[in-house]
Amino acid sequence: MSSSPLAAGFFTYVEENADSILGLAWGHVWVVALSMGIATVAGILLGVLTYRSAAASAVVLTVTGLFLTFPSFALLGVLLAIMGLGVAPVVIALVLYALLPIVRNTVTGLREVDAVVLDSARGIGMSPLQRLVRVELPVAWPLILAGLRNATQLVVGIAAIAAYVNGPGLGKFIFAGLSQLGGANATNSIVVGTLGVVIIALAFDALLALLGRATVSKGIRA
Amino acid sequence: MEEAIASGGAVEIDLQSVTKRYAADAPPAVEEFSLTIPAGEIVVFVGPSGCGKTTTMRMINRLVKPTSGRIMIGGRDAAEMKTDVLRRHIGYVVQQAGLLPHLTVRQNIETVPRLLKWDRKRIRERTSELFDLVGMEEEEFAGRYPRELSGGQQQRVGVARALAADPPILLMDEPFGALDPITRDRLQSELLKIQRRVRKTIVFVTHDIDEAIKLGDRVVVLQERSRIAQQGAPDEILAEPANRYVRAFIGGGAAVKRLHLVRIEDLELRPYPTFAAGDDYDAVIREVDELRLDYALLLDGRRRPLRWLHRDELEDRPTDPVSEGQPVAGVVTATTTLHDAMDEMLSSGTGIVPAVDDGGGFLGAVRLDQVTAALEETHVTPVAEQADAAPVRTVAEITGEIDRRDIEAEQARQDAERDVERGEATA
Repeated sequence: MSSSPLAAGFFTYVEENADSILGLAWGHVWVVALSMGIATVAGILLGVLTYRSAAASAVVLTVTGLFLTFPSFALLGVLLAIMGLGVAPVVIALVLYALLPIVRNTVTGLREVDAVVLDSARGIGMSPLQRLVRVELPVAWPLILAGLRNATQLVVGIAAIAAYVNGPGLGKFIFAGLSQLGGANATNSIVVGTLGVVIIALAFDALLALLGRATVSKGIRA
Repeated sequence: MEEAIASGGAVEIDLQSVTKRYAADAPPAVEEFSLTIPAGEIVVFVGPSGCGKTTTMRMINRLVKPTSGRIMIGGRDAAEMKTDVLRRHIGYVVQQAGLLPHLTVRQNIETVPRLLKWDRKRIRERTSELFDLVGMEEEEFAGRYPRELSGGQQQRVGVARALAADPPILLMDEPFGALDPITRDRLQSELLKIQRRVRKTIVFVTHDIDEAIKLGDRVVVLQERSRIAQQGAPDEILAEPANRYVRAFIGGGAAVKRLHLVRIEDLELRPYPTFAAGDDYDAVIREVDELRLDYALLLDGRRRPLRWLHRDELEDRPTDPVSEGQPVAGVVTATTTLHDAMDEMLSSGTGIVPAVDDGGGFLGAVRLDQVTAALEETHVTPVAEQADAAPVRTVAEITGEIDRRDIEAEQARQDAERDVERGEATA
């Protein structure tokens, strides 16, 4: 035998639980994708609406920053108390956590667009909306995308904890393992959950990197 | 669609008592500025930084809204046109070009025609014309991004973009200010060449009096609050500065600057002994002696100047004169300025330069004494000899003034801060 008994036990465990692993992994991916979809739209919108006003963007950044300071258990607990078990409180929590990096990078990216470029865009007759859509957002896009990657990593990790309020995802393996520490498959269960989260995080990041390749103009690529 | 101003030909711009005030209690940035800019001319606003020249120009395309006064463009009040539509019919070029960094050169040039919703074929054709107009290879540059271009190339694209929709007006805000002197000089000359073809009404802003003199059909010298110190043709301003301010602004060397304004076509060309290989040497030598010269000019079969041959070399009657004498270093054409002509003379060492027609054929010679004579005709009194010239100040006096200004500004800032603190304390 080339592999150790421990590893062999792990692979057996994976094989025996393949269906539920894949099912929960899919659930994990799905809840992250849904939350990120909502957070992306909301975050960019908040950034676009507030970046021109120092006061407004300070308020938005402080509030979204505040969400990040809540321990995830506590936030989930509060949402659970209000909304009961299920997917909704999980998605809401994940969206709140994802907002700060997205809003922050959107605001910074839009503010960093060269004043000369904006002035000439105005001077050649682009309306405010045309400037936003054709100039400011495309030029800020690399930074916004970096914020999205940042937020996605955060959310993939926190989604694992969401199993606590009965959310979908690989966190179930981790919590199951923790609750039966010392039991036959406790370690295997925790390792499956953790490894799965890492793989999903890497996959999301690779996907967003590809999106960047496809959508960031060559003229402003780092 | 509704055209704010007809494309194509040039239009007149009339600024009527235009004032811009940023704050009610501050002095205006532009005060009661009135000027008529004739259609098809290059008018240069020149003045020190902060004099309001850029603000004045930016009111024409309403990047700055006038506090009072009217701006008529082609007989229509600019304030009554839709701002974005107005701007699409006024070409706009800024320092460092202001190209959109995420778009290719082609997309940048096509921006305004696309905003105007031209059809694709018309846009393609126009873009090709523009590449040609600004002297860039379409195939080489169309797909490049601004950051892949040099400063001079970016500015060419900037000019092409401004001209894309064939606007009757072009506003240029220190467009060549950030370029190295050689590139700047070349782009200035090319702008003049382009203007000869397109005949736009161009408002050009600069703080460089030499640039103003070179480019302007009319130069408007501005002082603070954009008040007009003097306006007129460049040589009028150089020859008769209206006051001390203008004189100080022109600075030294006004006479030499005038050399930029006189062209070879303004001079009478001198006859000069020429010959071609195979001609009779006796006739040439006789002509050289009659004109009391030392050299004769060898021409080729199409009368293009080849070499200078000294009288002694002519005496040897060489069978192959092309291998004798000195090569002709440079020639001038009708549009060459006396400044450049003098440069040729001094670098060739002969004190004389051949003038040629468009085909390179010899027309006559220009001599150094003709340049000196042209200078004398201008009657420019050196600034130092003028009775009311600004007094010479020492560096210490000038820097002392700057220090004092800094100290006063700092004082004012601290006072303001103290007031704010006091205000908070009582609140």
